[in-house]
Amino acid sequence: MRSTSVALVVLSSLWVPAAAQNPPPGLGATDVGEIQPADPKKFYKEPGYSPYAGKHYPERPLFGDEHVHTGWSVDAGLGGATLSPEDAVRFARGEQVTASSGQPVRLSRPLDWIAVTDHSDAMGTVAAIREGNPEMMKDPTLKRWHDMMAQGPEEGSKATMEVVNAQANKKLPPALTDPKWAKTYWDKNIEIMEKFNEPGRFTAFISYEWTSNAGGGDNLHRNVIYRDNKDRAEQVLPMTTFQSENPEDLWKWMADWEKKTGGQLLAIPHNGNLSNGRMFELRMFMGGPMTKEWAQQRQKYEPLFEAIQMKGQSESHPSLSTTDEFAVGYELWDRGNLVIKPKTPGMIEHEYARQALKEGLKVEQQLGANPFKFGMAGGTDTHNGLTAAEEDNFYGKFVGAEPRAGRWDEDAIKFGDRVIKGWEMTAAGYTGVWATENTRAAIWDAMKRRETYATSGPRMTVRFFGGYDFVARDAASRSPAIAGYTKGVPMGGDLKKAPAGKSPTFLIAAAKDPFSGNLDRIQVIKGWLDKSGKLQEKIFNVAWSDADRRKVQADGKLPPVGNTVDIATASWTNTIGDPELITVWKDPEFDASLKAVYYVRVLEIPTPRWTAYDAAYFKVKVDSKVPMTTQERAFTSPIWYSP
Amino acid sequence: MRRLLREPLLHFFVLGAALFAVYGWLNRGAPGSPNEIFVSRGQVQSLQAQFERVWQRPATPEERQKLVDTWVREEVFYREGLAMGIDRDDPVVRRRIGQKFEFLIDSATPPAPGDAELQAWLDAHAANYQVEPVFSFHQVYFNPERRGATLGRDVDAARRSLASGKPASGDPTLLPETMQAAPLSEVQQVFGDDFAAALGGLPAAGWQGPVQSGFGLHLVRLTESVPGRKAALEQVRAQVERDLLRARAQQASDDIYRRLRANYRVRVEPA
Repeated sequence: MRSTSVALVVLSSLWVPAAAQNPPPGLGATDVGEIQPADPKKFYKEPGYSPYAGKHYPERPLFGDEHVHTGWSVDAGLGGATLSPEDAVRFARGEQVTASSGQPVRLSRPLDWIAVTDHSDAMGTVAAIREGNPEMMKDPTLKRWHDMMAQGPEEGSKATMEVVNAQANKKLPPALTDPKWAKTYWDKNIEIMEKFNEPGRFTAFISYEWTSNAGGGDNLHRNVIYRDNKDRAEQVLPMTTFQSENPEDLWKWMADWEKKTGGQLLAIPHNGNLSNGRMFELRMFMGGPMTKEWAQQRQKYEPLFEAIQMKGQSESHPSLSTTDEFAVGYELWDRGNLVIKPKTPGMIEHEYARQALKEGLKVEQQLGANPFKFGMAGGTDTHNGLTAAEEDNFYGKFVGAEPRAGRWDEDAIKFGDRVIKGWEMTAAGYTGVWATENTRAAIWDAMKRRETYATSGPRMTVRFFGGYDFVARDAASRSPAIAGYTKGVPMGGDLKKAPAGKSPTFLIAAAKDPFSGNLDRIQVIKGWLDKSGKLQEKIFNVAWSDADRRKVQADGKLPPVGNTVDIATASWTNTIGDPELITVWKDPEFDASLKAVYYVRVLEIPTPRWTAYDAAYFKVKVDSKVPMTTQERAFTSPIWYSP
Repeated sequence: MRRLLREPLLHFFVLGAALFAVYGWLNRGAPGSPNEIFVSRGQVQSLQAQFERVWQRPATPEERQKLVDTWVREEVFYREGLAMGIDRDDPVVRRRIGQKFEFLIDSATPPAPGDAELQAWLDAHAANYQVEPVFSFHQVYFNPERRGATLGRDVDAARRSLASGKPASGDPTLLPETMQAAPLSEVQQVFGDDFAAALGGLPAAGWQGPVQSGFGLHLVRLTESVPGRKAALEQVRAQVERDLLRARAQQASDDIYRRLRANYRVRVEPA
């Protein structure tokens, strides 16, 4: 394909299929109007000389972490975390900071956005002296303190000392102690995010975690992400689990919030793997049967699921996906719930994203609404303020797990004799968001329309479009995204009923993270509800590296890509794998009458796991059971087929 | 440790600690004996206000009663706990109180430094506020996996073609064909360090290269290359202000610690 013929490709594909003309359902009317996915019809209104004019689709994935705790979270503070939300944001922006353990640390490169999600349960109040509000200023002492503070650091320190002494001597002015002037941690958190949020450059979301541990340890946590700014966020205090542990009450709280402020919220659940069968249970929280309204609420408020983080992955489990060789032994935390209460048979069926995506089809058949219509997110859930998900730069989940020679063999989590070892921690993950610009609103909107993918840490670029008219030539274009948006829907979208005789086609592309390993392969994971009402899944290898020497075998499996990792030096070479993979794939087993869900998994070549970097750096010998290599990966939000 | 976190008693401590300062002030000079729990009007208003800020409506009379009852229950346990001294060996309570104390100190930092102060800070820390180099360029990509043995030849042919004003064949890629006014860090994000470093050395005239990246080879036409330079205050005001305030907060905290520390005599028992 010639580099200068992009415009021709565009002209030849101005015809837009029906599927692309409607936004996916679930993006309907809201209190603030329609949420519109990027409209393909707007991309190329007029053919013109410049192939670049008029490009309004997302051009670069914006990477961030939607799950970060700082010293303001009680459990993090107890664990020794001293970093504040400000430190966490500075670190995410690429600044060097000093970790709670005293070590200097910096990301390989800045992230594009962050959501600091301290637990809402511990947002107490603090007195605000500096605000200088008129009613407080009627008190001469407060006025004097305020003026001193305004003069500079020297006078400010003196004023503070006076405050401290007055408190000790019980001589604080009454106006200061009036609870109505008390500020909350929430207010302070908002102030910090406002200060660091720079539209166009770096997004700092206002956000918190609602931490429901049902039954004392079944993980039903949700990260609540705000689309809006201070003026709306400060009107209402976050929901805590002191009020309710029931996710349905959280949705109610979110609905009330949206009604009151005119803003918008979404919630991202995480760690289905630690929910002991409750994350995707097929009933309401209190035990009643699912209702259509319940399913609609869940779909509306929970458009994403965090499928990978430091406490393992919740994408797929080998006992559910028995033909998936890449689920075997991959970052599994599957022995119990958050307090390692052992699982009983039947729980794992309701914990993993892939199974839930399939179950959602069945529930939709029964209720007319799909509660598990979610896309993929990745976060760290770090509790030391450091969103360090890179294998060669892994700062652990708690301060106690920051780099030290023995951390691999220590207990990461311990309850009696039930233990999760340090080496089981996962150096993951981030979310890639196909947003049109780097702002709270644009990233949030992309999350809401599920145009996102999860990665285990590397920042690979992944495109995934579905439609009925993709042809091989679309994969040869120098700008596949133009064909993608013009002829189909992006990840997170819906395919309407297939035109007679047509099967879904998918334009799929991935480019490696320039800082990480080459790509091994791209897979399409398909789940569907068969004619007898049973759930099925199948994994298709659709594009792979080193194609001259690797062929798909009769059983559909592709030989492994190989392994260049030298564990002793924690190094590898990009002599295997490809820097980019792209293909157009047509479902060879399509039945137009059956509901189906498709998503993409991209695998890197094997690279050293953080445990290998630890062993090499600290010169320690680790147990042979500890995995020392990993195949980093990305999983995209699905595209649904709903006849 | 995590079990401890789920300990209901602990939750009471944390809540108690959160209300500690406010409570202490509120009950200053309140009537009654040590065994009297006085729920002041202000306290009830505060509970109601907190309820309203979460639930976005006023509490009903029943809810209000429940808020008060819960508060009294917490207060009884809290006082009993304090009387037993179990706050003293609790790291959560200690940290929390200490953290709130630091907030108090932080609130003494003046919020808005003037231009002169900001400029002085910028001059003193100029290295932290470099404006990044900026590049605009077009690139044609050659994938070594696809080209194999003909890679070098193909690139040469393409360069000749481009040099004579004709188009050239590149390979399909997700990499952008062009970046406009992209800061160095963004070029690094997309193309990797090697490519970004090479850009700085290219003349902004015609097609150059091939330039190597982790993806393969690229022919590059640089149309704009602005070197990095010292920032003017207007370009980095927000950042300078953030950093200056942070430094001052740290200074204030250290300063107050030093003054308070002077009031104590510390003895560490030899091991």
